[in-house]
Amino acid sequence: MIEVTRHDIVIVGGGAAGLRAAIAACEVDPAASIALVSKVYPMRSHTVSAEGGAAAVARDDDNFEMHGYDTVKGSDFLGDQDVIKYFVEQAPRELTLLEHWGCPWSRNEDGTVATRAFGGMSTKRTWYATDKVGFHMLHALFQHSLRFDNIVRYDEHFATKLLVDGGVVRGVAALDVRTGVVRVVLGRAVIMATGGAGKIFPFTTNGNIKTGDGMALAYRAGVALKDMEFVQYHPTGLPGTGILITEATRGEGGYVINSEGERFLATRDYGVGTKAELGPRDMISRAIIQEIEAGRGFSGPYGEYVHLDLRHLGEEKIVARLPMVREISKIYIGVDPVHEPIPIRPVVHYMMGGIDTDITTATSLPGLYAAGEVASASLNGSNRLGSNSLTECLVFGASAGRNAMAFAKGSSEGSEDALRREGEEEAARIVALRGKQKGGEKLSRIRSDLHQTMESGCGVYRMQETMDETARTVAQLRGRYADIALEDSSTVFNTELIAALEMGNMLDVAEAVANSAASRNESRGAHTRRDAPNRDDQNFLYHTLCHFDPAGPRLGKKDVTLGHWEPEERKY
Amino acid sequence: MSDGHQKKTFVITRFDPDQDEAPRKQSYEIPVHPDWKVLDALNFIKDEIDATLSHRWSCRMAVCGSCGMMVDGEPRLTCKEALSQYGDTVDVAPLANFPVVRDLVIEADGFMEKLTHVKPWIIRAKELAVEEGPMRQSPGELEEFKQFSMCINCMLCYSACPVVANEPEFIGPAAIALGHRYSLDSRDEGAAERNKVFRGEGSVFSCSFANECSEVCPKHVDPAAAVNQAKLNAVIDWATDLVLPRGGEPPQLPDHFPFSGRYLAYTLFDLTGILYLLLGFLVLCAVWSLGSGEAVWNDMLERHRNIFYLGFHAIALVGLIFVGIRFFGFFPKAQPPRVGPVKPPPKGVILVGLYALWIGVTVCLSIVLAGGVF
Ligand SMILES: Cc1cc2nc3c(=O)[nH]c(=O)nc-3n(C[C@H](O)[C@H](O)[C@H](O)COP(=O)(O)OP(=O)(O)OC[C@H]3O[C@@H](n4cnc5c(N)ncnc54)[C@H](O)[C@@H]3O)c2cc1C
Ligand code: SF4
Ligand code: FES
Repeated sequence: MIEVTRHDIVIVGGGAAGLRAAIAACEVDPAASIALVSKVYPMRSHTVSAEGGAAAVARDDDNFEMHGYDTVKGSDFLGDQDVIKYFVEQAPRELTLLEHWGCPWSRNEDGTVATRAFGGMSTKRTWYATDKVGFHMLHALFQHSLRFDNIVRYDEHFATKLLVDGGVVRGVAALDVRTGVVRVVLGRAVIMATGGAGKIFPFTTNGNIKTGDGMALAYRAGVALKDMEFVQYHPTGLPGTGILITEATRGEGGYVINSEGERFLATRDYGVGTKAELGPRDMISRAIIQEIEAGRGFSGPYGEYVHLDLRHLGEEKIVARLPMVREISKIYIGVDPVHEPIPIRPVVHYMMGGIDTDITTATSLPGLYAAGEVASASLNGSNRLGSNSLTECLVFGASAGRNAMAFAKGSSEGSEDALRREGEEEAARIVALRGKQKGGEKLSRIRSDLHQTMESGCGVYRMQETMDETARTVAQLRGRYADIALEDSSTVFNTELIAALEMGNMLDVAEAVANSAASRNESRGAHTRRDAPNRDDQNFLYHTLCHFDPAGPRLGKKDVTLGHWEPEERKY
Repeated sequence: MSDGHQKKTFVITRFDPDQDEAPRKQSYEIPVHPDWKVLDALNFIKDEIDATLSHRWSCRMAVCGSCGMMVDGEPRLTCKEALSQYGDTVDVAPLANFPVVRDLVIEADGFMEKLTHVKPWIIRAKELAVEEGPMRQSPGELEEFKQFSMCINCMLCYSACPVVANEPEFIGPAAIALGHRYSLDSRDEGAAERNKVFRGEGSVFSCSFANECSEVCPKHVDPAAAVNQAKLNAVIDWATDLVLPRGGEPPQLPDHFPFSGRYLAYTLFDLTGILYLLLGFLVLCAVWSLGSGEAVWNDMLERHRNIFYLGFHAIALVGLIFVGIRFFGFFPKAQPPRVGPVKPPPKGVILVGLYALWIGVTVCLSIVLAGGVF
């Protein structure tokens, strides 16, 4: 029923973070066997959809201190300052490597790499490849990874469980989607790089695969999820589909306009100062919601929205710098930004929280490392700056690859019998779920109820009452989930089974988000409460930890690493 | 999700190897929203009507390349195509020219192997150290390859390609475009290595320039241009190697090139070109003598009454039949011809029609020619 394979290390996730980790592991030891498990072909990973750019100091008028300060300020001082320093110092190196590997970065006339302005960044430090940056980075990484034949890919394998023996992680159980076989993929260290969890919300820029699987797997294995209350809303999503219009539109000079034709970010006080459209995402999202609440939005079939106006940039600039924005606007909302403003509204975009790791990407569970959006190394604190995340995937992906290899060197293989037994139990659980007929609940109903409660309790603006309500509803949904009935009993490419497994994971993540949010009685970064509108460093300058417990989540705290920049009021 | 204003019927190809012997069609009538893409309808069916339907999708913004399918017989990205452009009945099937895993899900491993085969990574004699910083590349140098780097690996072009239909080993449009993309990159020094790949197994020369790949490509990569540039490069590279041996391995043509295995058919196909040349020459002669008076015309006819001429005619006929079969064989296999909004007739009908036309024309011409000659 199961098949066992063995490698030196196992990487779960083939996005920017997972691929970078795999390449780093090959650099450490070209003879090592690296398993790369991914539920979709790596180049389908959601990194592909990133548009705007990746940040790293490149220009003469820029330096690490400035990038670090922008990041810590963007994080509303919840970022760990040692992590931030490490990140900004590694960033140029990583983007340079990507350049050497063929990434088609846009160029200045003299052949140097071009950079653009981005929200919350004090100078032009965002490297870009028109507005298809994630796409080009992912394909460059993936194609570069193809040259290493010691990377053994498990494409379309869905990881369902971390296998732990003697307190150390020694592999994962993964369902081969095409055959229905459960594989026990063993290694002496495991790296989680499964990306974010936007799909717990109804309206998101995230693709169908971003269901927080890796967070749930680690959570279930006893690792805390950190800072889960911080969910980033991107100010500019298309109403209806939630497809992203990149921040690069504002970086290139676009305006956000209300129904009275007013550039409210420049004319009204929303805390962004003279930065106006180039303020950080949390502030701009709040400003848009306030404008809409004040009756200065437009209304359409998909709710209320404001306008993003690019017309003054001119066709030439739009075609040269923002071709994807134009393509997307035309196809998905029927608007050509050269001639008309684009309707936009805030949309769930990114999870600042994730698997709790230290600066080396190690978790509290020996042998388990995590990098990319799935992890929270505390670079982003309570609000990520746009274009820091792609770079984060590279910097911490590489670090995870190196550190996991070092761990694997000194670690033993564990008892194969015990691991095989664990794998068999997991296979039995999956077989029981496949086509499970007994039950009264429908998967799509649970999904829509989860969406509804997450939006009402954990939106841009939050209140104690609704957050508590959401936490209770998620707990009830868990009960209902146990009673789902499924229709598809096929072993071959059973996408209903995958969706059911993902739903279980999403409920875990939603539980952590709602409960962490309800516990933070202040407003900081992306966590904004109407009933506690101010930041409270006295009582809440800490990271929230959320531990799994069958009886309900247990919350804990972790100190923020300070020491270089003093927390101050966040004003632009 | 749906406001129920309009209904459409989706005829979907279903196949579950656990249960079905062969693919079957299943119809679903559903209410559709005017803003929907084809993918939204499939997701509606999966969520609300039949959870056993299997299809791939993720980004729903035409960039991850997962959701390619045949929609009304054409390879399309289902998250990109508006439903409103289709009629009341929409036919959805798995991408053509690939083995089917289940329902609308095709097997992509073959493509992944081909992609690896063309070495789509920067090759340099000496790797740069990261300390050397980014290489310089002018906007012009970037433009050289940029278009070919836009491929999202959706594989629609493989579905449209008549050569892939006939010769599954053909490296194919996207993989060639991506290999070529690196050869064109000013930072790369691996063109010679890749040219070798392009000349080898599943070679670029298999391409018959049908251009179908470029027509269906949703990202305007124009893989046909890449394939044909790659052909030229491979030939030049091969020729240069002959004239100026650069050491290392001698240029390699596939073992069975050009007269055995599946290459035989291509070689013969190309050789028929000589027949057309000679035929054209004869026609010119005939026209010229016709214009020079009856004596010359009769003289010409007289000269042609010999065994060589008849032999040539026989060979030409065989060649023509061979080319016709190959050529017509391509078309309906991959794609019915585009005739505007009119729905194409079934493939069988097209094939029979083409053959009838061809045989008809040949017979008529032969009668005319024979009457004139004898
Ligand atoms: C629309 C959009 C635009 C963005 N633009 C920018 C930008 O301009 N700049 C920036 O810095 N950031 C941007 N971001 C954020 C950034 O793109 C992501 O945070 C980053 O790409 C995450 O990469 P990752 O490698 O962590 O995860 P992903 O790319 O999401 O990859 C996750 C991988 O894990 C695999 N996986 C998941 N679950 C399982 C499982 N159960 N079993 C096996 N494998 C699994 C998947 O198959 C996939 O390969 C954007 C995000 C979005 C959504
Ligand atoms: S060349 Fe075009 S059609 Fe072919 S795989 Fe690439 S994007 Fe798709
Ligand atoms: S779903 Fe990603 S290309 Fe269609």
